[in-house]
Parts: sequence; C-alpha cells; structure tokens
Amino acid sequence: MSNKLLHAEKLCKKFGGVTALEDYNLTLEEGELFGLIGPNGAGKTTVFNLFTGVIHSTSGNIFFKGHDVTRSRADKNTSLGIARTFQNIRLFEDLTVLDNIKIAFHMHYGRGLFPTLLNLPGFRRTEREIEAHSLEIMNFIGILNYQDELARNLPYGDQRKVELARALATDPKLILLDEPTAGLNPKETEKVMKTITYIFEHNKLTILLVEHDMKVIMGICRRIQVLDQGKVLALGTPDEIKRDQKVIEAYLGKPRAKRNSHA
Amino acid sequence: MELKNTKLFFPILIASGALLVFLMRAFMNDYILIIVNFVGINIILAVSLNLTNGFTGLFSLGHPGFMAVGGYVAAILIFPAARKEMLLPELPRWLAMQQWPLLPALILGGLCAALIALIIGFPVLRLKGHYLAVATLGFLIIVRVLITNMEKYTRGPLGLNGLPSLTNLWWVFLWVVITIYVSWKIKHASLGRSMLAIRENAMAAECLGIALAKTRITAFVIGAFFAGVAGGLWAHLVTAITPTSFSILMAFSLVVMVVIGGTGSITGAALAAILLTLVVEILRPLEEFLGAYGISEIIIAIGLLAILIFRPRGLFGSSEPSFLVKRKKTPQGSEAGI
Repeated sequence: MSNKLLHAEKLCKKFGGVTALEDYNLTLEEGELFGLIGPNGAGKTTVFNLFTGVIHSTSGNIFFKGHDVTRSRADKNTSLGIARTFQNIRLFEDLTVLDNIKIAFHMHYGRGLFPTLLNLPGFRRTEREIEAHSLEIMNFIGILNYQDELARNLPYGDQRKVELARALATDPKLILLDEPTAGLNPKETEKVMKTITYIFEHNKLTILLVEHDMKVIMGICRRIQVLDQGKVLALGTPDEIKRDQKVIEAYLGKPRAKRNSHA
Repeated sequence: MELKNTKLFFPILIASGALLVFLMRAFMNDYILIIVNFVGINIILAVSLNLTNGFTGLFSLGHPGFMAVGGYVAAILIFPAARKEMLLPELPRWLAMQQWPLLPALILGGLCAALIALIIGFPVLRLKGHYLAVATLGFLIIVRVLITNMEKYTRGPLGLNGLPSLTNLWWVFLWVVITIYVSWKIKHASLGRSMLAIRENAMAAECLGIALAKTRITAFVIGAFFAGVAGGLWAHLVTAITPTSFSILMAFSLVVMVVIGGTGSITGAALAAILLTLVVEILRPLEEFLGAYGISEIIIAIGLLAILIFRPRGLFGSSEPSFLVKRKKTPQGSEAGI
C-alpha cells in the first residue's frame, strides 16, 4: 500500500449506449513511468478524463494517495497532485506565456477578492512569489524567451512545452501526458521525450504516458498497458508486449489463415 | 524613470479627472452635465459588465436587471418619508420611515443586486454561451415582471417619480474610479488571471486547479454589485424609475460596448462607453433636424459591423494600452532549458 500512488478498480464508463471503457484496472507505483497504448478510440483519453475528474465513471472506483477520488472534481484532484496535458493542446491562447504559467500557481498561492482589492502585504508577496516561481519553471523548461508572447503565437512544439511547464507548476505527484508528441516531427518528438525523461528523473514524479508512437513508449517505459476497444488487452514489460499475440492482432490485424478458420 | 512606473501615476490620473469634474461643473451648462453623468454611469456599467462577459466569458444579458434591483432599492430607501406615505401608502411601516442619504443607499442597492446574483448564479452559471445569454435574459424579464407586480413597494408600471435629484458628477466620478480600480486590480492579480483562464479554456483551467463555479460566481457577483450601484445613480439622475427603464435594448447596448472595446479590456470598455453615449447624444439634434429618428441606432449598428469585420477582437483586444501597464524588464536569465 505504501508505494501505491493511484489505484483504479473495475472502472466502467458508458456514453449513452456506447461503452468507452469496461472493467478497467490499473495500479501505479510511486515513481514509475508507465505507458498506456492502444489504437484510436481504445479509451485512452477516457482513462485520463476519469483520473483527472473531468468526467466521472459509470461504475468502479479510483483511489489516489489513499483518497477515494472517484467522484471528486477536477480542480480538487489537481490540488491533490494530479496534473495533465491535453492531446489537442489547450493553452490560454490570448494570454501571454508567463500568464499561462502563473495561472497554474493560483490554486496554491492566489489570494481572494478582498486581499486583492485592499492590496494587502500578503497579496503583494504572493504575486511576487507567483512571478518568481513561474519564471523559474519557464527557465527550467526552456521557454523563458517567450514570456511576453501570446501563447497562440508559439510554434507547435513550444506550445507543448508550455503545457508541460503549466502542468509542472501545479506541483504534481502524478502527471498524465496525453500524446505529448502528437503532431510533432521526429526531431521535435525526440526533444520532447528528452524533456519528459529529464522531468521524470529530476522531479521524482510518477508519469502516466499515453502514446501512439510504439517506438517512443517502448524506449522509456518499464511497464506498459495496452487498451483496445475499451478493454485491457495486455499489461507487461515492453518485451512482453512486443511478443503478445493479442497486441499484435489489435495493431496489425489477424493473420489471414487464422481469420479464415474462424469464419 | 518613466511616469507610468512611479507610484504616483494613478493618483495623478485620478486628480486630473477630479480637476476635469470641477471645471465641468463650473463652466458647463446643465444639459451637457447630464450627458456627462450618463457617460460616467455607462462607464460603470460597461466596465463592470466587462468583468463578467469580458474576463470570465460569461455572456450575460442580465445587467439591466441588476440595475433595476439596485435602482429600486436605493430609490425606496432615499425617498423622503413624508412623500413615501402618499406615493406608497401600503409600504411596511419600518420601510416607510427610512430616509437614507445617497451613498449608503447606493451601497445597499449594490449589495442587494450582488445577493441576487449570488442566488441565481448557482443554477444559471452552469450554462454556457448562448444558453447562458438566454437564461440571463430570462432573469431580466423576471425582474421586470416582479417589479411591475410588486405594487406595494414599487407602484407597479407607474414607477416612482419625483425622486430627489441627488446624483451629481462627483458621485458618478467616485464610482467610476472605484469600478475601474476594482476591475484593474482584479485583472492584474491572480484572481483575474484565473477568470481569464476560464474564458480562454474552462477545461484546462479546471485541470490547473481553478474552481470554476466559485470563480464564475465571484465575477458575476462583482459585476452585479456595480450594476446595482449604477442603477441607483441612474435613478437619482433621471429622478424617475419605472420597470421599462431597464430594457433588453439596454442589455444589448452594454454588450455592444464591451464587444467594441474588446472583451477583457477595461480601457476599451470605458472608451466604448464614452463613444457610444456621445454618439447617441450628438446625433440626437441631427435626428430631430432630419426627422429621421433611429439614425443613431443605424450608425451604431454599422459601426459595430465594421468593427466585427475589421477588428473582430474589439478596439483593444483583451489587453490595456501599453502606456498604462507597467512593463517588467525581461530578466537576462541564462537560456538553460532542456
């Protein structure tokens, strides 16, 4: 129990008549970099949305650091230490990069209405702290040169970095990365993966990584879970996954001879 | 050191505004002064609506509803007790005896509007976009129907007239300063950034730990407070108040001010309020001369279309003009990164 960070049991999510996820189980150990793969529509993003509290499960339970977070709101989960990035980047486009990062500090540092209006010393101090911490994280991720630029104007790869910096700024225990290399060219992909490994090692985080790119995920994850059509297909080390017949079938289809024999 | 970076910049701005008010009161005739008062009230309304619609992205058409609440509360409290007996004979005794000065009545009017915003905020702010617009429009209609039917307190459709003419340029100026200060302070603080984050992308904001409902309601309530105050000022400028004073047309013209100014820009909302109020007043003699009533609405509509086509993000977008905002010096940090 001691090093069990996140535990999901028998999760099931239905959208109307469509079952997006069925009987899903996962246990994340503290400090591991775990991979989640599967073809399009397998339910990977649904898993993320359930873990972060953006949507709630039809049945089943989720525990984070021993708390039952099955029904808890996304902002509560974030304050417990679950951060995420999005498959389709969701930056605050009309705000500067610096403000994008600062927003992530609101939860822990931001003051309410009256300290703000009265300009109390505590308020001024936290504003300074927020700024200093934001610049620190931007420097760490390497986006300091963009601080006054509107987020929308950044190149795609750097927008991904801003999302990553923003997630880190919430001071998470667990980061869920939803296809962080989607839409990047091989060179950018390599850079982002390097950043992720660096953050992982440097911040002592637990990371749940969703990826399309098999090569990427095989390279850095020690344990991998494969989803297909809302069900867990396999769980194991990269080598085990590579050899798993069901996984190969899900990705490449069944061999012809076999399919004929089934018919 | 530039002027804008000194601590004196805003005090100097306020002092020059006060000087302007003083000069106007000394040299302008009553007609112009009333127009300037309306300009000021519209600034309060546009800037406070900008907090809800502009910062937080809550498309509310309910602002005149909050004005009505604030206006009626202030009017009933201020109205001389002797005349209240004649005009509103059925008013409960304790209320009929009240005869408040302007300032506390305005504040209480604002607080009542804020309280109502708090109560309706919980169900209504679950809606988004045009659903929210329709719901707030519904709120505006409900307020008007209630006022029309609460004859004991409001004299129904007749409204209250002969209110003491208490609103003058100093009061309006004071509230313009307060409204702008509050919005400015919020916008350039963590609280305001969390509001802007919700407008930009609610899901991302939530996943960064921002409590959506709480922040939305905060913005809605603050906006309603200032609308309530503006309603009180308005009533004691016009010296009459009826349920039809606070129309859907007014809701639209306030939204137009926010859109023209740029959703989220305080300066933009204030300038658009000045511009729109003056355009209507300046065109009025022309309308009368030509006998072509409604020409100002047409001109405003064309102007709005032009802005939506050529500057869809409004005059100022989401930001304030650079000479008003302190620029931080870019730290010459090492490009460490990874």
